[in-house]
Amino acid sequence: MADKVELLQGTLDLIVLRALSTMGPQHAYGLAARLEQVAEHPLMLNQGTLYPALVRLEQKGWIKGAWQRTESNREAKYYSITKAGTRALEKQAERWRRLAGLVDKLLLNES
Amino acid sequence: MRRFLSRLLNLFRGERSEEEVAREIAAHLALLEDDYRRRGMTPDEARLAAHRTMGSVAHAKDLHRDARAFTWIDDLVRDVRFAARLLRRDSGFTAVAVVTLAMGIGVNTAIFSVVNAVLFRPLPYDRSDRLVRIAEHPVAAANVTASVAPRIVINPLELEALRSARTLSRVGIYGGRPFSMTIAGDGGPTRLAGERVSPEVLSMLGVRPLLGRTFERHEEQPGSDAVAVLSYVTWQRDFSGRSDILGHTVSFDGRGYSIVGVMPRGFEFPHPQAAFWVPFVPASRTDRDSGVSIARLADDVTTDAAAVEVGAILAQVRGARIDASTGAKPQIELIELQEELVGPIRRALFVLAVAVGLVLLIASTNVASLLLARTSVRDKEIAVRIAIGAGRGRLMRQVLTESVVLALAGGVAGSAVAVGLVRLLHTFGAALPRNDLYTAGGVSIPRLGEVGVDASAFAFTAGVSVLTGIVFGIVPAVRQLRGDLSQKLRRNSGSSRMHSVLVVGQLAMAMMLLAGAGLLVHSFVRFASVRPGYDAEGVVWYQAFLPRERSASQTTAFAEDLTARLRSLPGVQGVGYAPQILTGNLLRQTSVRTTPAPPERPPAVGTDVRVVSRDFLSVMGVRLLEGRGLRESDGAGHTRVMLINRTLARSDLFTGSPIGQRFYAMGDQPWEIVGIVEDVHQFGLDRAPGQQIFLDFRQAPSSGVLNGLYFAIRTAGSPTALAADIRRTARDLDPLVAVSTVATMEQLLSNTMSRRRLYAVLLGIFATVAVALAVIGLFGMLSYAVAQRTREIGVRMALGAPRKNVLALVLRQSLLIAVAGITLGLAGAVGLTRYLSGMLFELTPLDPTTFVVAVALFAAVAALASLVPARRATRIDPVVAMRSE
Repeated sequence: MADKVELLQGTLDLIVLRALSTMGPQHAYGLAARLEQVAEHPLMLNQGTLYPALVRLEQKGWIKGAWQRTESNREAKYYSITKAGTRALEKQAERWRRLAGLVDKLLLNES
Repeated sequence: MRRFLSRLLNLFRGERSEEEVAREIAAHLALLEDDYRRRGMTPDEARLAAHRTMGSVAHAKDLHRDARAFTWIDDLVRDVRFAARLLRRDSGFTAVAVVTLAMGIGVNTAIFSVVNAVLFRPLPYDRSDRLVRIAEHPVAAANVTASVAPRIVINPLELEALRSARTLSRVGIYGGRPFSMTIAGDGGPTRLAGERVSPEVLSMLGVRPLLGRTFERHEEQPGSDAVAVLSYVTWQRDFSGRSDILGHTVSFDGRGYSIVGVMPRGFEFPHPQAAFWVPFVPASRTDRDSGVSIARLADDVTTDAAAVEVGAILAQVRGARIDASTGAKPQIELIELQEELVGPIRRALFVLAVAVGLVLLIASTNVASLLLARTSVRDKEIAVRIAIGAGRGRLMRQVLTESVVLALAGGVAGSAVAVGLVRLLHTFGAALPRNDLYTAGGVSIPRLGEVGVDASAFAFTAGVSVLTGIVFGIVPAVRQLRGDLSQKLRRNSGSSRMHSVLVVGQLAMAMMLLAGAGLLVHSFVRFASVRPGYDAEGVVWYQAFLPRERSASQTTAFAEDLTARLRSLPGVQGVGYAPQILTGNLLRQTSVRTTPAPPERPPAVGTDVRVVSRDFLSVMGVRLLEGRGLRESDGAGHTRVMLINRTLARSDLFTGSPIGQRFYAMGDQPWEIVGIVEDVHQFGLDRAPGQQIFLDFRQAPSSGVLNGLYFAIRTAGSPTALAADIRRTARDLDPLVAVSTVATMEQLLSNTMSRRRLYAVLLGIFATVAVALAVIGLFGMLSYAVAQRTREIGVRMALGAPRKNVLALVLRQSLLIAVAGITLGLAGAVGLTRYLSGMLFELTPLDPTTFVVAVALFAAVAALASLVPARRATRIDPVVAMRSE
């Protein structure tokens, strides 16, 4: 089993927002499956732990949830990113890149 | 921010959110299942795999919930609901606990209301902490041992001088004697009590009049003084609240006064009965007419600095030479008005507060014991909970929540109790509602009218309830955490040691309260049995008001005529009259001396002057010790005679028998002493009688009988029936006279005892409640212990132990506890009763009789309470006992 990658709370938010932005509206299961696919790593989360992030994002008004039917005619709650969410995504992404760049530089200096 | 609001909102969405989450998670699981089935798993395998991938559903729900709202509030709400359900189920226990707590919390709230209104709240005047009284402490003379109350009156000359003081922004005088006038209101003439105030007084208080203005400086001159300010109540009641009241001319005692202002609702000065204010115009042109002083300190001035300046000014006015033998200038102290009013009872209120605090503690202990007994029953349930993973902290929180809910319920009930108690206090605590009598020791609690159960009292109740809940909940809660789990699962663990400790504590506190109450009650009994020097039974007081214009001789003639006629009424045994009630607090002083002129410096303790009709003293039942009383022949123009009291006779003014000696007192002619009478306790039974002289009214008509004459009538009949007769008789004599009933002498006497009586009664009630609660606690504990040891006792009896042994077994336990409790309580009492010493009358705080009686009483009650469970123990059927668990 490959190493599980632990995720910080803020980064999970970022990932979800990005996923919704590129993939369009998704339900929780779809998000989790998709994330696993792209990452090629099983993320540390139990899928249940996705929920706090979804709740948070919804409370902040960055995503919006609506009940719909899937292709297999099961009902599921679909989340889509809002305009505010898109703006937040840009800001968060920018912050992340800056942080990542800084950490990189530091690491580079060490070695 | 948006999140916070969203979370707040979710608090109320509660159920719906839960459903929503469940639905979403179920949907997620369904999708996962589908997926796994597509991959080839069986439906069961698929479901398992789905769950595994999901993680614990409950955990997911928890996480969701945590993110959604404030979890601790959710938990709290759930705990409260659970607690409420439990309490409702055990309604018997709940009822007992709530009632116990209601009593304890209720009395605390009541006393808090009193303390809040009387001590904490500032007087209802503008910046009342700057208002002071000018008090003069008499320079101690050699032969004066008792402490004398400071003199708080100043005369108009002194007032004028003080007006230029820099350290006082305003200074004024008011009152000085009971004052009332007949006012022609819309409903006809009524006699109302009012107050004479110097012009600055009303404005000094800083309360703006509702209508018009207060007085101006020039209105204290005779001629310009026909102006008056009304109280709100008077304006509404006697003048129908008419809007054109300003400038309206009203007849006051037959003279026309212009109304210049109305004070706002709720304004009272100096006491609640003052219905109007008129300018203080000195009754005579001498410096004798004094009034009570009141002043406002200038900004940024200390009372000490002002006192120095006031002392200097007064000394200058009096022109006193600094007498080297007796000391320096007058000792002036400026006392803050509120302090003067409430200072004397601060100690008493503190005692009351401590007493009710103890009562609450005892009540809480009882409830704690009840809870202990109850939670030990739920031990198994708790143990199972712990076993399946409930956090101990969480459980403790739940038990505490239960206690707090119980306590809050008690608090709500207690609020009702408090409201009732305060109402009781209003009716019972206020003495005779006639401040114009100025009888000593009158109103039990100053500012009583301001006492009410208000918002702060409810906040206090809530706070105390929560605190109480935590206090008595801690004990069972802590007990949850201790103790071996497996032991809990098996049988009831013995908590008897903690229980015993609690009961010992209860008994100790109750013992302390009992000792304190015993002292107060004993003290009151001593106080009430002091012989006042007169016979109060059967004497009724009436007041006759004459129009102001009557001269002294007209007044005397009227009084004598009326006396003669009243004497012939059926049922009347004696009639006397005087310008003031026998125990009225009027100070009219002189000095008995050998020279006509009064001494340059008034003595520290003067001699009281009482001008009375000749039958007055015999009507009042004042005993004649030597010589003779006043006679018919001691009229105007004859030899001036006076009676002296025993205290004066014993002073070193006289060598040999005072009878026949002549001295100067009032006026410039000497008076001959013709008799010595018994001392009368003028100012309350606890003040030693001072020196007094009695003069015949016809020989010394008082200057300005401002309030009419008081008639003392000894009668066997009812006062009200007599009143009608008296009114008729008086009106026959003079149609302009108004007669009103004042009170019976017994009521007046009772009035002087009201404060001490109130404290004795209150503390007695608290002590009784405390003892009852503590003894119930003892009883409960013993019953419980017997129930616990049922098997053991059964076995003993089966093995042949006689009843007596069983009895002794139980009683031994009770004895130990009772002795421990009483001893502890005694020790506490010995240490604490010294704080009562100011409230006791001729009793030491360690009075042996009181203590012995209290201990005996308590021990007896405790013994009685122990007997019941003990006897129950002896009646245990061994067979049944051994079979029970």
